[in-house]
Amino acid sequence: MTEGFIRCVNLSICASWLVLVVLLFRLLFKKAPKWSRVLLWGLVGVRLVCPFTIESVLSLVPSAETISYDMMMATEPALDTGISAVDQLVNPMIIASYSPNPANSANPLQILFSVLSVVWIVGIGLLILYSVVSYGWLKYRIRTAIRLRDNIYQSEFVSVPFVLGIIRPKIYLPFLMHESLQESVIIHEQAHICRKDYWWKLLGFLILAVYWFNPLLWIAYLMFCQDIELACDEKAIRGMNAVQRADYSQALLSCTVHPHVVSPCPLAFGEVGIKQRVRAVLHYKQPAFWMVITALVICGVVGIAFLTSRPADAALSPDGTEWLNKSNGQECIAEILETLTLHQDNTVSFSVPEHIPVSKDGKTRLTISLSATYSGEVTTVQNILGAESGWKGGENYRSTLEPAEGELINVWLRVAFYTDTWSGTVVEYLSGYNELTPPFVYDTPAGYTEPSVVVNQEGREASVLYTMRDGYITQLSFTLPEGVTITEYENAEPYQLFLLKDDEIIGGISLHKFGTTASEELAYVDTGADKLPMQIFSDVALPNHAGYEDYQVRKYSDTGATATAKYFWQDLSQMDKYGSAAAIPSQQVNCILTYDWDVMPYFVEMIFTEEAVSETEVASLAGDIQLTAAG
Amino acid sequence: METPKVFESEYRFCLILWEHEPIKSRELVKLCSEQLGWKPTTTYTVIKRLSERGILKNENTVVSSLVSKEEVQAAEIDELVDKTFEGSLPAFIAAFTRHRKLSSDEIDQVQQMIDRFREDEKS
Repeated sequence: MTEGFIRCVNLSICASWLVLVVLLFRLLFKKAPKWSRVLLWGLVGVRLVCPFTIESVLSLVPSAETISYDMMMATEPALDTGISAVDQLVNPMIIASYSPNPANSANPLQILFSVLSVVWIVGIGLLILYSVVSYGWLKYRIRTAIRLRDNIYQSEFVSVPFVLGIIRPKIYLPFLMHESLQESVIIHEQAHICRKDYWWKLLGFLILAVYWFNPLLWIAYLMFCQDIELACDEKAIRGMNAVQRADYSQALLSCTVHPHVVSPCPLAFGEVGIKQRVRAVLHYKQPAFWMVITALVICGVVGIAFLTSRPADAALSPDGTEWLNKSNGQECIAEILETLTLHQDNTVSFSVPEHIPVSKDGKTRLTISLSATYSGEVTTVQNILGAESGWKGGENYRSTLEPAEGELINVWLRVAFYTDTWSGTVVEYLSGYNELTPPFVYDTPAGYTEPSVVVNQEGREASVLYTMRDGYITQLSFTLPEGVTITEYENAEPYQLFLLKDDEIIGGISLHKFGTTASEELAYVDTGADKLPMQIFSDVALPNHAGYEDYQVRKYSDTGATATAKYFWQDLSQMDKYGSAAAIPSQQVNCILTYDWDVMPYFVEMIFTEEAVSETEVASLAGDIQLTAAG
Repeated sequence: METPKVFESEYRFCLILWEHEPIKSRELVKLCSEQLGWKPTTTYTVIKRLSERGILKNENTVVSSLVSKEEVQAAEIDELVDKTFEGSLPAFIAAFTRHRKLSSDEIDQVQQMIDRFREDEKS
């Protein structure tokens, strides 16, 4: 529903431009035949009804999608009105008021939009209900109308003549109308029926009911109704002589000054702008041929310029490179990462592909960081490149490793696309990294696999397929507790998954590197003992403020085990409150740990909050979990 | 007793009744359908309403009038519109599409426009 609402708002903004043009046309071309105005309103209707647009370079619509659906999720929500002055004025305000607070689960814009779309639907319902009820009421009041002839009826409840009905429309007149007036009125109303105006007006009202939130479209509807009357007069008086035209004008005036007024419901016909209409009728001249042609040409031009939208995303930039998107950006990152090479001559290199995808708005750029770490008395880091930007494509970068002391223990390459935002900060668009660790391989590119997680859940049976950046592909399968689902979080490291129950996060699944990958050290691990093997878990369990307690093996093999434990940690951000790290109270949750060095050098940690999943459920899940090599 | 006023449409109905009374209500429905363009339900509703107001009586599906044509004509026909009618319609639409109540000045202006046009055409 929210999606439909956003779509309607965008369409109504596109249509608003067209409405302004039609209003301008009405001002500039007062002499144009009136049907051309109605035709232009028809274009507005087409714009509002037809959700698709043809792309054209001739389009004058500034932006086909002012509000994008993704805006609700964006860290810095921004409008794209297509007019940069407006964007620059409005967007900082929107960002200031509606940027999501990471501490809250719901995004303020998401809440706003869902509330607005409910209001929208209710509004449509009320408008439709109101007009159906008033139509029925009018119909009821005039049921005793007496047939004058054909489809013409008279009723004491009518003071202003109108046409009512959709399939077989009838003309309703008051009693006691002067005969010459009556004939003029009937000619006018029959012209309405002939032009099928009662359909167009109904259609216009239905469209308005959907777009009721746009005040400009209310004005458009009112002008449309006026122009229908004028166009109808034009048709009615065609072929009349001057005396007949004077009688017709008299009829218009008489119907207007009647003291008691039957207000027309949206589907009936009332009278509008009497002075304007009388003048138009009295001074009517058959429009010149060139005027008709000009009017038609203008309608055509307006149609081409405003029913189309600018080509959304030309795939190529002017110099022939692809515009940046998530997929070619990720490809570019992978291409750079896989070339990371350590050389015998104590240098490290990588190369940048010939073509780097360019962002269309010029706000997103490629940055590369490269560093090397050496062991020694203290660990030292050599920063070779620090988020360097300005890459043109085709570079082969090579730099010498200069250890202050000690041995090389890691080379780290990070490639990312960063976007400048309205508030002057930068946000990450895409990123990836590659890491070289001992034992080093020289003069051979490191290769790179884009990490990914594929979750498959059928009922309570779940499996997760991990592809690691170092090429390991592993499948984790297990049976979830009742009512729990797995979800990926877009911005999280692909190793991180969340567990949801009733839309609340109740836990997570994450992967961590082994403390060591050396087989001679792993050989010392007693997989069956209820003692936490630090060779495996040191990454998480070594620091002072976090770790595993109550480690109980549930099943094991020669090369791995699955255990339950309590994960405890101290929230170091509370340091100010408690004075020292030691004073911060420790918190704990149930967790399952599983590893198998035959499968991959990572262990799986599955966490559950105590309230959501009982200890027995955790224990049964631990007995059931499977970690297997795949791919 | 004062003769009740009738609406114009009811008067047209009574004209048929006076001409044919006493008449079976089924016959009356047929006549009203032919001459007034009424649906059967409309005719029955009007018969009921007028009998409540003492203008006609409906006994064993035979309808006859209780007041004469002359009496009704003397009482004038109430051709005025029920005021409540106005308020029940979508005023929010009406407020825009309706003319503002024209001032007599404006009416005069438009009337003059038409009159001047007629004279110009004559000369």
